[in-house]
Amino acid sequence: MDLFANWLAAPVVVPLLFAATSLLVATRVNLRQIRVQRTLALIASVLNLGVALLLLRTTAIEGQRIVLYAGAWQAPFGITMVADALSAIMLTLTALLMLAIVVYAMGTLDQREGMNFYPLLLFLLMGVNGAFLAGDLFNLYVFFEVLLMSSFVLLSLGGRPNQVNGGLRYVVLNLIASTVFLTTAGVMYGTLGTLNLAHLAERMALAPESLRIVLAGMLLIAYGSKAGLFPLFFWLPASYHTPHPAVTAIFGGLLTKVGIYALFRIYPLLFPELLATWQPFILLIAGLTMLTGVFGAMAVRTIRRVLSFHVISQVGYMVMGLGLAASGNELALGFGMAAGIFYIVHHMIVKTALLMAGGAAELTMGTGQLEPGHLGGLAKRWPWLAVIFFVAAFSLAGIPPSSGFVSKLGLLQAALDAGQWPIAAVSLLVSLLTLMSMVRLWQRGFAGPLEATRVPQRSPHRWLTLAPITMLVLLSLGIGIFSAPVFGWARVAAEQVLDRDGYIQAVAPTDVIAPVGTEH
Amino acid sequence: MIALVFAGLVAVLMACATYLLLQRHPVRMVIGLGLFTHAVNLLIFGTGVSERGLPPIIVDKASFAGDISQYVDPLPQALILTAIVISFGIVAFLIALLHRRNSLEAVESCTDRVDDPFAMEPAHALEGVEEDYEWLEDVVLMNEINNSKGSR
Repeated sequence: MDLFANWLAAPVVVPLLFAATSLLVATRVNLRQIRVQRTLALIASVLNLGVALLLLRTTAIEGQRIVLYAGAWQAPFGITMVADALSAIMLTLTALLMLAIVVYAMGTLDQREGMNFYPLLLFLLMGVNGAFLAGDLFNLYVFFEVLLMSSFVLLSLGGRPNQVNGGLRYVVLNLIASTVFLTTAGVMYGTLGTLNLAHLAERMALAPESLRIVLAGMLLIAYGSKAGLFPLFFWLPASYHTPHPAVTAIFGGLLTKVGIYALFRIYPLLFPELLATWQPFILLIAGLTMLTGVFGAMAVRTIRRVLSFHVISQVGYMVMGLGLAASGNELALGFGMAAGIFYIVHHMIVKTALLMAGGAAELTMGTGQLEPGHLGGLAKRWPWLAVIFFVAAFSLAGIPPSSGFVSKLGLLQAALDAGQWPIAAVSLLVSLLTLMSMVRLWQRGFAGPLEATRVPQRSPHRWLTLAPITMLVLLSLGIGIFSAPVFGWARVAAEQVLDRDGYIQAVAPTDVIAPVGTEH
Repeated sequence: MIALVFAGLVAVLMACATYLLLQRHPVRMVIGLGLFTHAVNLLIFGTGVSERGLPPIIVDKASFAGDISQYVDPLPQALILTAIVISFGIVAFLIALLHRRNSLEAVESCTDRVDDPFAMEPAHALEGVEEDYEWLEDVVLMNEINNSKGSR
C-alpha cells in the first residue's frame, strides 16, 4: 500500500519531466525539433494513460482511496495527494483526451507546432492531473494556476489579432476568479487554521454558519467562473473560438471540467448541509446555464462558436447532478451525483471529438462561417469526417444508443426521483434545442452542395486527424452500449465523494488541538 | 490592533482594485489586477501575524521550553511567496499580451471605445478563421530573423 501510494506522484511528475526534456531541444524552429517534441509528447501521454488506468483499477473497481503524504509528513502539515474513484475517472479521461489531441495536433497544426506547442500541452496536463489529485486547498490553487498559465500561452500561441483579444479577456477574468479562490483559501486558513481538505472537513463544523455561507459562496464564484456557470461564463465564448482547433478541442473538453471537479469535490466534503439548503439555488443556476448556453449556440454563426456555447449548456447538466446529490431520498442520494459524474465522462469524450471534427472541417474549407457560400458540402469533400461528426453530434444531443442518451436518462431519472420536475423539464427542452442546433450545424456545414470556397494553404493530414476523432466517437458509442460498468464506476465515485467520514479516515489528519463539538 | 490595520489596508486596496478594474483603459485594468492580488496577499499575511510576533525559528529543538503561541505562523508567508510568484507571472504575461496587441495595430485611444476595452479595428475583430495564414508566416519569419540577429 505504501509503495503503491507513490504512484500518485506519477501523473504530475511524468508530464513535468517530459515537458522539461522537450524544452531542452527547443533551440531553433526546425523539423527535427518538432519531431523530437512530438515523440516525447506521445510517450508521455501513453505513460500517463497507463498510470491513470492503474489508479482507476485500484480506486473505481476495488473501491479504495489512495493517499500519498509527500515527504512522509503527516496529513495537515505536509502536502497530501488523494486519489479516489472520481479523481481516477477524471485522470483517465484526461489521459485519453491528451493522447487523442497529441495525434490530432500532429495532423492539423500549422507553424504554431514549432512554437513549443507540445511542452505547453504537457504542462497543461500536469496542472490538470495535479488539480485532480490535490488533497489540500492551496495545492488545488497552485495546480489551477499551472494549468491556467499554460492555457494562457496555448490560447494566444501565434499571436494573431483575434487570439490576442480573446486571450486578454480570458486572462483577466480567470485571474480575477483565481484571486477570489486565493482569498477564500486565506480566509479559511485564518479562521479554521488549516488548508488540508480532510482537516477542513473536520473543523468546518466548528465554524459559525455565516462563515460557512461566505466561504461556500466565494468558492462557488471562483469555481463557477472556471466552470462557466450562468452569470460568470462570458470569458468562454469570447475566447474559445480564437486559437487553433486543437487547442479549442482540449480546452472545451478539459478546462471547464476542472472547475466542475472542484465543485464536486469541495461541496459534499466541506459544505454537505449547504448542498441541501442551497439545492433550489444550485438547480436554478444549472437550469439558467443550460438555457443561456443553448440559446447562445443558436445565435452565433461559426461552427466552433456554436460548439463553445454548447460547452456552457452541458456544464449546466453536470451542476444539475451536483444539485440532485442532496435530494432527501436516500436511494437517489448517490444516484444524482453518479449521473452527474457519468455525464462528465460522456461530455468530455464527445465534446472533444466534436470540437476536433468541427476544427478539421474549418481547416479543410478555410472558413468556419455557417453561411451559404462558406462552410457547406463537406460531406462530399471528406465523407468520413462527416460521418464521424454526425455520430458525435447526435451523441451530444442524446440520441440512443450513444453515451449522451444514457447520461441524460440518468439525470432525468434522478431529477424525477427527487421530485424536481422543473429542472427535468428544462433539461428535456435543452436537449431538444441541442438537437436542433446540431441539425443546423449538419445542414449548414456538411450537407448541401459543395460551395466554391477558397482552399486553405495547408489541409490537415487526413488519417492523423480522423483517427483520434474516430477513437473518441467509438468510445462514446461503447460507453452508451455497455454503460453498466462505467455507470458502476460513477456510482462508486459518487458514494466515495459523499462519504465524508471515509475521506477523513483515509487521510487521517492528526489534530494538534482536538476539535470540540464535532461528531467524529 | 494590528489586525485592524491589516483589515483596513486590505479593504482600501480591494476598493482601489475594484475601481480600477471597472475602468475601460486596459492599463488601468492591469494595475487594478496587480492591486487586487496584493490585497489578497496582505490578507493571507494578516492571518499569520500575532501581537507578540517572534520569528518562527527554533534553534535548539531539544531544550525548547517556550510557548509556541508566541511565534508567528510561518505557513502564510510560504503561501504568499507562491501566490506572489504566480500573480507576478500572470500580470507579466498580461502586459506582454497588451504590448503585442498595441504593436499589431496602432489603435486610436482605447478610452474612446465605449463597449469593449479590448476592441480593435473592426476588420480584425471579425470572428472565425477568416484571416489567412500568410500573416502567421510573417511572424515566424520575423522571429527567425530576430534569432539570427541575436546569435551574431
